[in-house]
Amino acid sequence: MPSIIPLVLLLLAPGERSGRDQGQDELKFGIDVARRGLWAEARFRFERAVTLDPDSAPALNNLGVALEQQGDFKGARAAYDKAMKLKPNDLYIQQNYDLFREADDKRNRKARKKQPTNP
Amino acid sequence: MTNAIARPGRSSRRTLRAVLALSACAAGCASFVEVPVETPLQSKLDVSSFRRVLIAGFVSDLVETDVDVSSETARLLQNQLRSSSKLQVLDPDRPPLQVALEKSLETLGRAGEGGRLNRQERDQLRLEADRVLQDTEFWRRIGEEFQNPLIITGKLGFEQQNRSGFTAEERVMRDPGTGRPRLVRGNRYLERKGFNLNADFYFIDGKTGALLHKEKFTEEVLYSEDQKVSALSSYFELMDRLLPNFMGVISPQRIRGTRILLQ
Repeated sequence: MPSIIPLVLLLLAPGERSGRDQGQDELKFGIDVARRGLWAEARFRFERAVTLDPDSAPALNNLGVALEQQGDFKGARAAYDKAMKLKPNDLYIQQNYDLFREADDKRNRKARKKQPTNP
Repeated sequence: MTNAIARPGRSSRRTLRAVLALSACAAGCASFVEVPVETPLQSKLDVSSFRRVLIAGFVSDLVETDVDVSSETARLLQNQLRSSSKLQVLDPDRPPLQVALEKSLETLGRAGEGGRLNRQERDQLRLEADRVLQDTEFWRRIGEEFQNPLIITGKLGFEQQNRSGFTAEERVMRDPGTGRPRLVRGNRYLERKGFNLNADFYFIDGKTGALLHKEKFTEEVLYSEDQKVSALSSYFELMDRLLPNFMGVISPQRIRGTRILLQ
């Protein structure tokens, strides 16, 4: 039973929870606007969620998606990388990351081929 | 308060278990939302310095077919460019490449004769077409005539192929002795025909006549023998597959997909 005490104290700790709660609110709002295709706002919300809770894998995953949608592939890769490190066994994050890498590899191949052909 | 937490009653224990289960679920089975995404894909060629585009005609494989590949392709590309690019699409009376090749036919003494070219004449015309496609001065003059557009031209091949033959197949069959299903591998002869489309597109700078980019596309479609599909509809099916890749050379594309957002 004493092992429960720290958990309960953690749940009741007002300062830490408020930061996470705010992050959770930003995350929820970000998802809501992303579903409506408002990706600039979604990105802003996910960035705030990450600022409020830097170790939140869902926030980093969602930020990765928003950055990818907006064409910031370097930023998206960094966000997915960090989300993967925080939750290496999360199938959803892994799936997003795999799809992102597939598309990013295609883009990089295209960019390499972009050298002009000599007549 | 501390005492109450340290020594909870039965109902408090139940509540705590629920809280623990909820926190475990929050950690392990986060809810998710699948959203459609469209990621941008840059074009291969920067055409921002061009205001016009000229489809200058195509060299076809010079074999008589049911489809006039050259003019159908020119018409399709013009329509596609009109609807999906900001470039002004020029519409010449006659494609400049065709005019140049007709002049070459004149030198072969075949002008206006129509009919089939013999193998030697076809080879000569192919060589001449290759020469024209790489003739910077020729394209610079065409560019000057049409006010320095982006010129798109190239070589096309469209042919029907007999693709009948044995193909490997796997079937699940029930073992007569044991009654258990098992995988049986075998070969089956299939009557099939196919159509093949090869396209070599040249993207030429009308200001200088220089080749900016060259892109090769190959598409193939197979039909079983009982499918009655005309060469023309096969051609359109293959062009429908090819067009997004063609457009990806000169205009940014978007890759559609889905991603998972986590709560």
